[in-house]
Amino acid sequence: MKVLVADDSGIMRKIIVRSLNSVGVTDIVEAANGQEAIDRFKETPVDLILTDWNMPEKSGLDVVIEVRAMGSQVPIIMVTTEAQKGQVIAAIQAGVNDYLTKPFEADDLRAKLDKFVTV
Amino acid sequence: MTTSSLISTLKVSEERQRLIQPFANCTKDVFSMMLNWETELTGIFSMDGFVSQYDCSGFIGVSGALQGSIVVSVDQIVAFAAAEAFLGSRPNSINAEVIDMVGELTNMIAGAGKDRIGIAGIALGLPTVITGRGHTVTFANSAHVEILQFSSPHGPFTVEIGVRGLKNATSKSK
Repeated sequence: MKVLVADDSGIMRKIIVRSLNSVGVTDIVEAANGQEAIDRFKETPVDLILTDWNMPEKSGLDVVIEVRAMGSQVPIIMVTTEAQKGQVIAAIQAGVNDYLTKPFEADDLRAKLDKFVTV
Repeated sequence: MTTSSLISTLKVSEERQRLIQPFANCTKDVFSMMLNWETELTGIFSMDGFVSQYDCSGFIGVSGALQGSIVVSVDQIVAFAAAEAFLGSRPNSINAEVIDMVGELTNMIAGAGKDRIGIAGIALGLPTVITGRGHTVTFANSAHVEILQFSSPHGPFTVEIGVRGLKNATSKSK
């Protein structure tokens, strides 16, 4: 299983990668902004995307919209500080499958991963 | 002393509480959930300008219904301990990972505070981090500034909120 992790914070990517490793995922592609995430996705098909919302170049919402516009149904988890109802609805309408707000505990992230990770 | 009892002891006005309480609570949550640190609000100051006592400050711009910035300032020792808690190894200088970590802590505190403050139409920018002992944080003269001082197992740190528009901001509908 290959997973794309997009977050402009290297620390946050490490936390997510560590959590993915803990559930047996080691094939991970990282992106430091939204445009890089889209470029990586075009280069390499993945089985799951975890993306931040607020990133330089393009936002996580842009990533979701562009991935869905390509016709992909890959599961996408938004991991973000944006927790207002309108934004959650906008993300779901754009095609996000699940939503995790920062800050989170390690168990919260693992519970989300358990829904989508098949190793 | 709990956040509520400190606010009560200091006789903080309701208007100031509207800003202080959500940021005090979300700061405690961020440190507890992400670092497993127990922190306490130890002081609240309201002033127009402030000279940071610490080595590293994360900034996030606030726009929309409120305008200003949110600043999280930490001492080098606190920054190193937090980076160790995140990464598993302790840095020996304020390197790119420490700066990234301070930026992400600022992002989470500002994001959670924005949601809990109950005001519609607030937007946040991306975090910026400034380092160097004795650097100065100065808010615009017209900003309402609250400085929240916290204790942590590794030393004190501050969360500074300097915003305009608080009086006229409307609450979010439920």
